[in-house]
Amino acid sequence: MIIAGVDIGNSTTEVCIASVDEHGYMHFLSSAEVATTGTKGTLQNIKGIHESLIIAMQKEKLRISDLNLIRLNEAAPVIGGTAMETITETIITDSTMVGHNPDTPAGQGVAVGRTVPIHKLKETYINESIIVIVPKTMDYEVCAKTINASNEKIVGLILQKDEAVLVYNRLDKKIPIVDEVEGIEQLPIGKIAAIEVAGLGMTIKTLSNPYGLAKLFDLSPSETSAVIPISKSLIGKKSAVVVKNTDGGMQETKIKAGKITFKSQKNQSTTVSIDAGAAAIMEVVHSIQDIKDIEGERDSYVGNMLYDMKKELSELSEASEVSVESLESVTSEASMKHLAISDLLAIDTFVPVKVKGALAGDVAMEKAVAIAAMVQADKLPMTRLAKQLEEQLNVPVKVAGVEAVMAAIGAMTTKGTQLPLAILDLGGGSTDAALLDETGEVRSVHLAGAGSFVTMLIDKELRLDSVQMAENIKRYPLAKVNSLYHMTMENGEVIFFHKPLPPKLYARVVVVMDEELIPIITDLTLERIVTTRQEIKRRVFVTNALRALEKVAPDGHMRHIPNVVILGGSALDLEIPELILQELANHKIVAGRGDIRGIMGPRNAVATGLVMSYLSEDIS
Amino acid sequence: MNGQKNSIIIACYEPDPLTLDEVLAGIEEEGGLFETVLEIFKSVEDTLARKASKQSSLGAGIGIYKDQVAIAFNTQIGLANLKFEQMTPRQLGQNATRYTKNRPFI
Repeated sequence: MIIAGVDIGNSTTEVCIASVDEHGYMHFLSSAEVATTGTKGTLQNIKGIHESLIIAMQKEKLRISDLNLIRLNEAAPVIGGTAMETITETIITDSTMVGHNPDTPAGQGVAVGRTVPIHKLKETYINESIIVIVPKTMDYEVCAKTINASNEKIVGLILQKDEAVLVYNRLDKKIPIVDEVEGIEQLPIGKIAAIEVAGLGMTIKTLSNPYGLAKLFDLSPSETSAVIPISKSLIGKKSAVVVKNTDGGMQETKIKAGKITFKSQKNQSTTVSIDAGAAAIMEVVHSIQDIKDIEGERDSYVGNMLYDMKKELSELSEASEVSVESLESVTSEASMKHLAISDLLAIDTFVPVKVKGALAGDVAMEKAVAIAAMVQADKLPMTRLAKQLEEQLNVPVKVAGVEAVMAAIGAMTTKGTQLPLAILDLGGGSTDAALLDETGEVRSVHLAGAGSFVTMLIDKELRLDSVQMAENIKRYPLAKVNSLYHMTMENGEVIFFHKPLPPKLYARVVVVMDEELIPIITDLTLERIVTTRQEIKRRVFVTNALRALEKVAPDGHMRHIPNVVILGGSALDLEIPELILQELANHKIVAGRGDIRGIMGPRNAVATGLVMSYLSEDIS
Repeated sequence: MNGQKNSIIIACYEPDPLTLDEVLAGIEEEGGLFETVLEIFKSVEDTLARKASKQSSLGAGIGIYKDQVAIAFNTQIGLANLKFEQMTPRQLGQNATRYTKNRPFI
């Protein structure tokens, strides 16, 4: 008798094949995994299941028709979602500030003067310091000649092109020059402006100091407090321009972030505003032990995310009862009522955001709250899927066992474990935990925030604008390319190459995938990216591991759990299991990456559990 | 600026003056030092660049044949002729300097 256990996860479909001999002994034959096709629980999954079964059966030179039984998991009906709500915003009104990091500004120091375009220089006779604005149509030779020939008191230059050093080298009198200001036409003319270029290896000191600006522009105490956002956003820059403008300037505004309302089982509701920060939100989540539902304010990012998640899951569970054609009309607000957001994880973060109205692509760090949530339904339409699969493959299919229980049974094949045994399943959409005790009872919990939440945070905090890139940074080690022939890995190891590396990789931080090197286009150093990556993983997974284990632990005391087996896709990560182990070691808990059947590593637990549970069923 | 040790060597055969000026501007903007060598035997830009890179103590060489520009880098491990698609002579000059400063190419 040959049976297959099939586990459909959010991102991968895993299969385990075993045979049961006439004495009732089980022999594991093979296993396989492919990417899940479609959303978990839909009929589109069949393609992936079919493919994975073929792969697994071929390893043993068998065909699908040789199978006697397929056991499907009763997948946990949860869907995770993530969103980020930026709660501050910097807007430049009247284009009064440029703060950027051009590669090569020239000269150094601070200069204050009235702004004059270079073509008006000859007609200008003002008896005060001037700062000359040079558009990109002018060549550096001509520019330098014009400045040298002028009798005016020129104290600084603002260039549109990347030619600061070229002009500087040709000037008779050396002055600070800021270059690469793209939106130079928008700089106001005839106004008092200040420019600053930092000294060698330093960042600007005067314009990033409110009192520095106060001295340069002769500001009153109340005006000084108004320039704080300007100074703040110039911190750490190599060069800057600030134009004094009485009727405008720069504002740091608070965006009206949405509110979240938590409802408990006793129908008590608590509302928190997102701008109160993650700590305040998590305090509420912690204080309400039995969350019934969570609602977000409409038209805020979080509100929309919570709504979309409910809609997606309601479409799924509705689909089991009605035909696909009438799906749209059935998915009404009423049908979403029985779905509830059961958990939420909020994290405070700072994200670099492009300043609105900036002239040179300036970026400011804004406060934000990232939120992961999870919606839970009564049941996914697995029976429908099983029926369809049975028809297509002509093999009996049975929906057997709850995912958490199966995972716990599978996890027990890891050497060195004993009951009670807790599993931590670190997936893409949710962090799941289950505790299997000596009596065979299983307690399980699903929490919001897992792999895809980490990916979103990496993407936003490093300002990559690419989810794929963030995913790569999360998964693979990084290296710095030192020369055309060698690079240093993040652990200090040096790798040499026989052929020169492509020019696009030179001197860049790269993601080291198995055969491929992918450059990260950023100014950030290798160390900074590594620290950010680890910090995000720690904030999401360690926080969630503790939250989950507390919930499943007997009497809520974690120390009553002797061992924890870490499973799931994120358990394969290069550092997440270690981060969790370090934290759990403080609670005297044995925790580590699972090794299913001693050969599968942290994968295939549920599929293995499904096959194993057949034995107990068969006897009964 | 000529005759210094940390120079990028530019080997030229009948160089187009405007092209040469642009390459030099690129090097200057990035803060590099250079030395120009006029070749008497006719060679194409790639050959000139390779030859120049071997003469440069920084291992950075530029070859200019008429208005064609090439860059080559000679390291202790090996010599590399790098192909940059669609780059102006100015940008090639900048990249040669960025190489010597261990900064990413543009």
